[in-house]
Amino acid sequence: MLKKIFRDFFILFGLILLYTSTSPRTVIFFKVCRDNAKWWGEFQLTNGDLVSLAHLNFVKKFVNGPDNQLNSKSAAINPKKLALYLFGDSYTWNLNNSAFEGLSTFHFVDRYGGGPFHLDTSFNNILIIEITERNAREYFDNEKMLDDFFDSGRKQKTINGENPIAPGQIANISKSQNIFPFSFFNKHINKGLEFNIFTYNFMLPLFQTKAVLNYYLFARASGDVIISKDRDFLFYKETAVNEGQRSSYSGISAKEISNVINNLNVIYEHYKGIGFKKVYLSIIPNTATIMQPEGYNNLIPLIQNDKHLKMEIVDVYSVFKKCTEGIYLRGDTHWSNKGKQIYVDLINNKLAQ
Amino acid sequence: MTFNSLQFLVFFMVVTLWFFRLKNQKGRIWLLLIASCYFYMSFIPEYILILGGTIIVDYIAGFLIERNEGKKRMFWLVISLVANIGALAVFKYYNFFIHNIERSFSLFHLTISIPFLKMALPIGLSFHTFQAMSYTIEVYRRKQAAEKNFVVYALYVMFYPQLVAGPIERPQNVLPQLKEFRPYNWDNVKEGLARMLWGFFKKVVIADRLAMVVDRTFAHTSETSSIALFTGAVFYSFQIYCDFSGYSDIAIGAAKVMNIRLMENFNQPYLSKSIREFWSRWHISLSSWFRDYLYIPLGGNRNGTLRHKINILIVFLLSGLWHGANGTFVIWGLLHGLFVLLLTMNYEKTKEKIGSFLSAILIVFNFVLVTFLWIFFRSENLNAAWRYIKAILSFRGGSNYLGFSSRNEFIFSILVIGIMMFREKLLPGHVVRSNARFYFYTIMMVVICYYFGVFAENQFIYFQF
Repeated sequence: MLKKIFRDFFILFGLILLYTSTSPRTVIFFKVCRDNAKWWGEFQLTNGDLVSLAHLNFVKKFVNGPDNQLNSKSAAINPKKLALYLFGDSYTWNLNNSAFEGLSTFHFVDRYGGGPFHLDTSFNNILIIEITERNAREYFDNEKMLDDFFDSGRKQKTINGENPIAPGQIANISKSQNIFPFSFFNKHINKGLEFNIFTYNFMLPLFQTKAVLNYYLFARASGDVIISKDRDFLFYKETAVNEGQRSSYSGISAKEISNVINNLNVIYEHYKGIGFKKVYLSIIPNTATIMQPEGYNNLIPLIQNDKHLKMEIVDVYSVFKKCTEGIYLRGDTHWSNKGKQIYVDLINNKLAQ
Repeated sequence: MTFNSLQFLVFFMVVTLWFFRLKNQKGRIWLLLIASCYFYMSFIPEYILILGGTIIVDYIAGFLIERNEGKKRMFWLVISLVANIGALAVFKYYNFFIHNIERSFSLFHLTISIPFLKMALPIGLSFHTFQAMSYTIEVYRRKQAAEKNFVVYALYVMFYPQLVAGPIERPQNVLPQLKEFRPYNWDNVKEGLARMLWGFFKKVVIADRLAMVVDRTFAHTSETSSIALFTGAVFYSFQIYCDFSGYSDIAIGAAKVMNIRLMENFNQPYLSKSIREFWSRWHISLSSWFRDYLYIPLGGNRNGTLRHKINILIVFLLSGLWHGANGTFVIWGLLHGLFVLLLTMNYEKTKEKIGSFLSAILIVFNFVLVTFLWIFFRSENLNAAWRYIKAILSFRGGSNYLGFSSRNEFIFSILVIGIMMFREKLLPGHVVRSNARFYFYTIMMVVICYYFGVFAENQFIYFQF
């Protein structure tokens, strides 16, 4: 009898698990409900996203230490009435007005759910489209993704069945939102299952022991993280393998570059048409691109140097290539404040022109 | 869903527990069919229509073959073969042939523009079409009665453990088992789970680990040293073996848990002393399919030496083509056929005369030969394959970086390959009689797979066929 009860319980449990894991909304609902301070809460990506993904917190050199502060510019009234709009992501989301010189207003628009914003055409509006290299091909080679960049009254980005859920991502969907519908054949179901089955604080020792074993025995990181050849940096795996659109080393065809340039020009024409005086593109190089350049596929130079590209460039790549020390965090996908400061200074130079 | 995914583990748990909850075979068949549909649709849902279409055609053809005689009987067999081979031709080979037609025209400075098919290859197409064709051919040969129950027949084609990468089964083996109610058998569950764990071990601990080296050496041929390239080729031999045989182990084990016995697909192929023997041990279900449905109908070795050799070359050419729509697979198949002809030796009759030393030499020689032939299989095109082989044979220097960050991982890889070969040689069975040993084995394998497994959701190599 007990066996039958266990059997039926596991059948039901398995079905519920499969169902809930196909629904990103449901996964996010559970994420929001969990108290991360408790043993059943979700372990957080502290001290660096890659360090936490790979559970390498015991390796001191990868753990984020104290970082410099960004230079603060004094607010000044500028007769030019410059308004800067930055379409960005986690690399630039904590930038504010004080980082830039001579601005009247600054607007950060999160590409993953920001907006809407209204353009005051009495200002000299400048738009900078900031994107990290690993996302650039995926976005600009895909016409469907262009919707992210259009619509001056941008729609709130909704999570649908096509969007992957990465453990640790913080979502803005409240508990009260509808947890249906779901995609029965959601390709990212394994991410949902991983979240529902494994991402609990009490399971951390299990992951940490595997991380210790892999690191000391094989000098390798677990999961989606790779250790650089000089063992000084962690790379997000997709940026450091030989295949895939996110990789710094995978082949690129002339046709793909042409397609990217065409899509960028469409974006350029759109925003010039609605009132921006200038539209800039800034592609933030993958850490692997700068810190392990051997075999780099030259994606950024191919785009930036294309004679058909209409957007002006904030050329982070060329500056980073010359000054590699300390611009990236060792255990994080992001740059340090030194790298961010270089970026801000480049923008300030553009604004001064 | 791949076998080495969380989705499959949960799916398998639910389906198997539910299977044993049902106390009648009709319910079990429906459950397995629905589960198999879900399994298949988890790749590309719409492609179930293609699979469903060929199932309907073959089911009806089976009926009509059995009911008719003479030319009408042949007619319905041809309909079934055309439907299955037609599906293969369209989805797998259309772009390949169009590309070659355009290249042929370009040789004469002519241009021709034929649209390419922009669809992904339906997963498992090569496997389930061959399995379906074996059914209609056996009905035609009067060795199998046409299956009246559509659900049973559909499950024969779609049975999820072997749907996407074999073993390619025969109706005489599977159909009776699907119709027979077999009660829960703890010994079969133990054996099946033990087999599945062994398959997971080969896939996640060995194959996916060796893939790091193989991907590196094949992507950086020009700067890598000969010894490193040869190591990459050897590792690929073991990667493809552990990947494919690991999949077969999981498939056979999953079926065994449900009291269904599938045919064996591998028998330690790298211990073969000749290419001919290799093909009696590698992908046995495919080689026996070609033997029974192509080689023998072509006449086998009964129509003279020349015809015999031509038949062998045809079989290996088509076998190569079966693996993929690329010149590399065709050349791979042809070379295997050529070496079968050139190096034919009948070891069953002469094995008493061969000492263990000579046996060892022959095994090593054959392994090296097969390894070089695998280079064609792995390379993107013939030029890349030829460059790789030339680079090995030039005995040049270069980078010895294999893609491992530590020498320990290289040593570990050699160690697990040795353990795998040793264990499969000495302990071919997977029976774990005592419960205590079974529990110990399970815990040990789960721990080893977790701590030493490389989890990148790498697809099984043979899924792409």
